[in-house]
Amino acid sequence: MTRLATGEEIAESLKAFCEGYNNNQRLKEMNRDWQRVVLVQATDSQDAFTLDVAGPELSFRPGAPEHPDLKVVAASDILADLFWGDLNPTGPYMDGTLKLFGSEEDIVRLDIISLLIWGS
Amino acid sequence: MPELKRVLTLRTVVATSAGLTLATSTFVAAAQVAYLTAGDSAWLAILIGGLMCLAAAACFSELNGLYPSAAGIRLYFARAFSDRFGLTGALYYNVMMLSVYGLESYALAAALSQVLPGVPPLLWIVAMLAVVGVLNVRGVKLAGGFQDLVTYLLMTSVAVLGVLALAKGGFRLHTPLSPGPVGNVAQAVATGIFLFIGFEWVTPLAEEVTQIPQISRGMMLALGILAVVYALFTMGMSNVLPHSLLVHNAAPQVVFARRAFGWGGALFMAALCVGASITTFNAGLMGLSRFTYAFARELALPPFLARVNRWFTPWAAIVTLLVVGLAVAVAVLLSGHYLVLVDLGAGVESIVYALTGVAVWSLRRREPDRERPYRAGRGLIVPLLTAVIFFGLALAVFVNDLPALAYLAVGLLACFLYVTYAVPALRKRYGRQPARSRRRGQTPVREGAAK
Repeated sequence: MTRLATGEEIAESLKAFCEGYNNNQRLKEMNRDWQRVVLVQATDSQDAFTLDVAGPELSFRPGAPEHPDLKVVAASDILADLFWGDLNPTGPYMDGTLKLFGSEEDIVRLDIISLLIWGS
Repeated sequence: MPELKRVLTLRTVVATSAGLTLATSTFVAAAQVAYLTAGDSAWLAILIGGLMCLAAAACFSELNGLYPSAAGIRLYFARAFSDRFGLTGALYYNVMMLSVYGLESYALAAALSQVLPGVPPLLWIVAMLAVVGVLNVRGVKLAGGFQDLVTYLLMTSVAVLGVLALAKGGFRLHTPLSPGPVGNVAQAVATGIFLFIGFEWVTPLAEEVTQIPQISRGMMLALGILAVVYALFTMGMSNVLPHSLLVHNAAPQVVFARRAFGWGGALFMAALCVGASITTFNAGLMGLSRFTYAFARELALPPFLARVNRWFTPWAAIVTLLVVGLAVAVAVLLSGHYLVLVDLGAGVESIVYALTGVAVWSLRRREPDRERPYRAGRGLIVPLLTAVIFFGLALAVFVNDLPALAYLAVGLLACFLYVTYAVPALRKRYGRQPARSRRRGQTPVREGAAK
């Protein structure tokens, strides 16, 4: 069993995720009209972050948004490994340890973004 | 936790559940139910089938509350039984649903050929699948409001046609309470399950609602409305059509509409079929392609099926599904054996519902303390009754249709062998070694994660 991830570690992984997105021209082109606010919530540490997708730019900030379009909820270590690309999201999603809330299109799109950034 | 900005209403949950269920091929099943029961007493078999599906819906609701995920039975069965069981069951279920979509395109082609006989059915099938394919590859989804409108209009129209047909006969019912021999009624109820096939595909919407019980209410309401609509329609149809015309006809609903209301009625019915197929295909194939994409992402299917295009749609999965769907439709067209797919669909769906009851029982034992926003009744009566009833119905279907049983056995064996031998090989070939986590040297494996 892995230990909990700290808020700093989740923030580091989100930073890497945002860099991967912002350096990927194909993704930026594909997402040019997509505007979403994503809540990233750790269930064990209560750390929360906001991912802002503003078309070709992705950024994050600490704290929860008031009304997100999409929610990504899991234990802190899963979140950190997911956004680092060390863990394929399908595994924890299929075994119920990763919960996603939002429209089906948005959930699939977020997974595809992860696929295109990290390759698996 | 903050609430989502956009959430679905009960109206859309009901429309999604009913829209996936109400299809052109369900009219074929409705005629089959009417044929198996004496005269206009098919409504009894349909209502019994609908009531039984309510029990299954209660079990789905409990599981959906436990695991509000679009992964559906893949996740429920993995948690209740084993990961391999969950994967085998989900793969087979998706293959079966694909066969039903092949049947659906065939049934639509048969309906349209009744009103435009000059156009070969194969052309209708190819045109239908091509349109659906382009829409899915481009990621075009009918707007929620429009899909709701189409579904409610369809249900109203089908019910009104049934009532009008009954009115033409002066509401004279011949044998409304005498459905015939018990064996036939049991088979009619089992076939009648096909009429409700897919109502549970609304569970992925659990990720889009704020209150999980809304999904349960939506499923129950959809089942109730559909049972009434189908009951009225079959009573009207069996009042107009002679018993012999209810079978050996892939488009009995068009024949019924023509007899009852002339060519105008037949054209209207053909238009209803187009609407029913579009709503089913629109939501159904999109869901299937995303399941296929997810299976490819977890390396349960070849990874090329996870390829996506610039519209964020899994184009390789969509094209593969369309090719397989076309092959099924052509096979049905050439053989004329469409009823075997109706029975296969009803039988497999019954087995899935039965397993859902067993899964509720198993998870109550395995995870008694996990939060359950919805419970399928107190005690084990509902889940165990669901398991017993639906295993019995599956038995009734397959005993009376041995070719369907053969398809079931071959399909299950193929899926089991595939999951046992091909999936590990795929994962060995394409899976990457777990990287060292960038979190201070941790290895990204967690207790309870998928093996």
